[in-house]
Amino acid sequence: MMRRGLTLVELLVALVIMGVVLGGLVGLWTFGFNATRQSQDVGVGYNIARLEIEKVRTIGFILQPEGARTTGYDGVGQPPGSTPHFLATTTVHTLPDAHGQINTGCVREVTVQVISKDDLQPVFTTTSCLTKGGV
Amino acid sequence: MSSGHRHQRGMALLLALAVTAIISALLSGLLLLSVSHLALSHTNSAYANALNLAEAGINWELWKISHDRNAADQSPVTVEYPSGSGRFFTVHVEAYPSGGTWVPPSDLWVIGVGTVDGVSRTVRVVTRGATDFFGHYALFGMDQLDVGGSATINGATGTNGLVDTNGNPDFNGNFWYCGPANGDDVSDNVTGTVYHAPLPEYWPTVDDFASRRAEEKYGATPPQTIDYFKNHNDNSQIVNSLGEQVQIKSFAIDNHTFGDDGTIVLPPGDYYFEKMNLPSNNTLRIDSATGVVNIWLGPAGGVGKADTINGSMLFTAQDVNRFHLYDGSKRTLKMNGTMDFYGHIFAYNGPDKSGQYYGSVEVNGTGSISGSVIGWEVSRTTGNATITFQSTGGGENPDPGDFWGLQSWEEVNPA
Repeated sequence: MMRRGLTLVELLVALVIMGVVLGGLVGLWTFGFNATRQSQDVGVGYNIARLEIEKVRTIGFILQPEGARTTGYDGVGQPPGSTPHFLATTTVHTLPDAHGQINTGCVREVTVQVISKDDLQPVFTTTSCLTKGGV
Repeated sequence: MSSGHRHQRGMALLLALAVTAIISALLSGLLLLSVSHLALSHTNSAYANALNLAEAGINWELWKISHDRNAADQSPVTVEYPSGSGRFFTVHVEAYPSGGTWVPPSDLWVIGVGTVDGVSRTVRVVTRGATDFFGHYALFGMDQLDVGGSATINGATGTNGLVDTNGNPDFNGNFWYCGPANGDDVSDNVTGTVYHAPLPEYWPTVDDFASRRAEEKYGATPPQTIDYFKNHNDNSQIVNSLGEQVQIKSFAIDNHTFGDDGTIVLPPGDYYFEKMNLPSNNTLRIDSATGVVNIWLGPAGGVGKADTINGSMLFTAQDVNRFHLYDGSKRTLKMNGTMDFYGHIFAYNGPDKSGQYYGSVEVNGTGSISGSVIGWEVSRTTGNATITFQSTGGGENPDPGDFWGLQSWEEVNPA
């Protein structure tokens, strides 16, 4: 009888050990899953941001409207999905000159922020600037 | 208990540990993969950011030398951009293609390095100073553009202010409403495209031009104003058609200035006047065939009767970049009569002590102006003048405010 009782205890101990270890592993698995998803999002995000900057350059320094616009992209960065996975907000802001004036002699700052619609967290943010006759 | 039961003792524990170890090993591998993938993505994003920063640095430098080429960074400077972001670009210029110190206005490298999270990318571009600062527009009125009659404008026309058209002018080119520009709809009179640009067009002032010229020619320390030329000019070079020196009294050219031959000649140089009233029966000959002639109309903010050019200027060259008429006064400059004018007219000044900008040009008569007419207020009230932008010119040195056009782009250390 005592030997059978020991086997039950043994089983319980094994279950507890497995529970603790697997519980920890679930946490690691969740971390790994999120890391994979985040790396995927970052990878698509910086390509979307570059695309947005190129779009600004295509319109050109002179004709680029001031302000922000938001464009939706799907999970692989193709615009625009019916249910976009990413939202890219491109903001063009002209910095005043030394006299506080805004004109074509100023620098125009371009900021692109790409957020994931899953958690509404920014996955990539970049800033560049434009000037008349520049890159 | 049999020996079989004794052998099974502890098997559950061993089995649990074994399964746990196997799952842990598999998960650790996957985790390592995920983490390395994440690190790779972050590195790639840093590369992307670094490229954008490197280009931002190049544009920042181009903007800087567009306003003052003497401010070019001959050695690398590091700038946090945007301020407070913890991201930096480093930028400098070198002579193209030899490297070393860049001497404007020759071609140059602009080399930008963007650095993000320890990742750097280097981009360099070859740029060239534009020589057609006046050439973008045939006609531009910063505060007001009034075009009437049957004027013909060949080339771009634009304004930052009010558009007022009377009659039936022809705009053979693009028309630009810049920034707050408003007023009449010119679309029926435009053969090109009507643009609505969000920003007002930037222009340097007459004093900016004067300061640069004074520095280049006389070594004057900037900033200077048009008044500098009152004491530094080539007025003593003015002669009549026989080559005899002509005295310019009180900086005025009018019917008293012209002698019996009715002609005075301005050889290449810089001339300063405070009054111009050219009679139609006399000739002011601009000897631009051998060099650049600049006329500076002062004093800065000076008031009085309008300056008038009554169809009596004669040019020995048709190169529009070899004659500039800068009006730094508050008087109106009237271009009347019939003549073939080759050069640029620029009348944009300010702000004065009360914060006002000024410079007024009227184009009347039936003359033909090849070049650009640019002023705070540009109007045409009568006649059928033609203003024609010339896309080719004499290749003179860039004027202040030139923009430095991109010639090539390359990444020096591709990722």
